[in-house]
Amino acid sequence: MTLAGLQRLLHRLEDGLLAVAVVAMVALAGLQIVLRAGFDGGLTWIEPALRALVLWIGMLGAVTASRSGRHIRIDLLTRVVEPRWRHWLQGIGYGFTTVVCAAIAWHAGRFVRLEFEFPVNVFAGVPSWAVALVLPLAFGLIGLRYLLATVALFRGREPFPDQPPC
Amino acid sequence: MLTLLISLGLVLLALAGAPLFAVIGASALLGFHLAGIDGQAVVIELYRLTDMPILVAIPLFTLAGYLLGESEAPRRLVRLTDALLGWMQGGLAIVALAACALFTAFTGASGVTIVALGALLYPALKSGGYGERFSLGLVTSSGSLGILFAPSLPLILYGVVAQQLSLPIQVGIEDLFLAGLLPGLLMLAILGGYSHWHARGLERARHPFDAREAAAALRDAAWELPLPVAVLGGIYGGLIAISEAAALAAAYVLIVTVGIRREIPWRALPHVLAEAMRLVGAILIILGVSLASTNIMIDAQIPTRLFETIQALVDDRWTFLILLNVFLLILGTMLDIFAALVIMIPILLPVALSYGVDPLHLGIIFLANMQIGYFTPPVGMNLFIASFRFNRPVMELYRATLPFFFLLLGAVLIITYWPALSLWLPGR
Repeated sequence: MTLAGLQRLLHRLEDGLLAVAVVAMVALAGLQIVLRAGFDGGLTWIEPALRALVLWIGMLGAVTASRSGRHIRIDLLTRVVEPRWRHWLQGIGYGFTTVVCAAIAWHAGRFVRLEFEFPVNVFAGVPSWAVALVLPLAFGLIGLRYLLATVALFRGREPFPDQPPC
Repeated sequence: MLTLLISLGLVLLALAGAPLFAVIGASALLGFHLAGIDGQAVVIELYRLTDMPILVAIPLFTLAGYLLGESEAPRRLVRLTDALLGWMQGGLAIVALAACALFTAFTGASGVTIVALGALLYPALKSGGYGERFSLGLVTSSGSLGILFAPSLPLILYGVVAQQLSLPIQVGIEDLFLAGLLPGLLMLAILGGYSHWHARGLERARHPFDAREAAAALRDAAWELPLPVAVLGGIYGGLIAISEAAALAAAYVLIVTVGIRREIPWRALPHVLAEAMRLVGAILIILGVSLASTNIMIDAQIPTRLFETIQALVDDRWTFLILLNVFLLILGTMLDIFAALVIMIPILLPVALSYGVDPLHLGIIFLANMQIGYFTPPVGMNLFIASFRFNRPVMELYRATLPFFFLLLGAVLIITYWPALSLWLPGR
């Protein structure tokens, strides 16, 4: 498989997982309301499941946002300087982002291993390490995107190929 | 000295275009490191995102808003408000204001309003005889109108951040929703009054009230109408919790737009979902890392020290509020509203509290300032979105939004110096 093909597969996987998580959240939250209203009491595991889904949706959403560089930033300096300088400035900013993501991903990996050794049940038999697993995964993938963007910038190309115009 | 150098470096990196979550994350990692605490603490704080039940409301409301924006609901909303309000002098402009406010309350001020509604309202206003400049200015400045109304995302996020600070006073999100109501209506009334005055002699823009068209528009919007009634009525009436209202809204909109009206095809659904969750992800990742940095900041007693410094210079509440307004206005042009909330509120709220400002009042002041910041030259975000959307140079938008800017600035000053406007409804 080519590198571009691998990337497309990864994008689909992320989008698919995200869609499943969102639909699950809507369904579970809706079910809980129906159960509470109609049957005088919901299922106790739905509440913690929803809170775990918040983390997964948030992190996966952050991963997909990093694909097109759409994370919230100030971006004041890069708007006023010349394009040549802009590439250098952004390259430094994105390189720094890569390092920060790598550091958080590494700490998150240690966190997951610790949770794995002392497992806690979060909901319906799902252990805490499985919920936390999204953290090293997401920061790893976000870091990867910013690494690619940094490399692209220093080669004089646009950092995010599928960047929207505004 | 070291801390100062690090802070300076981080600010430079942020200006160079590094995403804010990375800048805040780095400050948390370094802060813990300097305090001799394992960096894993950052991850533990991030994991605390699973500890806040209210956060469930953020993806759910965002989803509902994006689905509505992608469907034909904006067109029906404009038709309905036009049928009900179009007979007034300046009616069409008031339609635009009301529709934008309602829509922004549901979608959060993220440029969605300008993109989804502006494209309908701008040509309608122009063909109604309103001037080019007035129409542009109205549509652009209305893009952030409505963030003070429930269930807007910035209001919810302010509540979430304030609740993390363990203040001596409760900051309930329901109370915030009540606090925003009158200030939001004040802004609507001021802009509505201006539109009414501006439209004098503009007969073309008016049409007599037509009961049949009103009935038809009501029928046309029959599926959407229960939504604001149930969500707003439920929340303001205290019948349902906010996360339940969000779940109700998301499930209902999903079923209506995809299942019943079929305006969003099944195939397009994953794309719309992913698009909506990009915004959620961008907000939550910043919230997550800032939980860590806030912790460090409170341990280092930065708000307390900041208060002592400020108190040496400013001794009364009113001067403090003036300075706060100036500061927030500048901040609002540079910083996205969500980032501004999670970064600045942990610092500002304790300081404001020491000056006797109620947390609810501060929240409304903060968001009202940020709302104007969206279209304050030179770098307000909505100016660029409108410039791109309507294909007009940014300079033209600066001029077009100027009267609206000063009118809303007046509203912000009233909101700031008349606390009762925000605090009367929640009974503070």
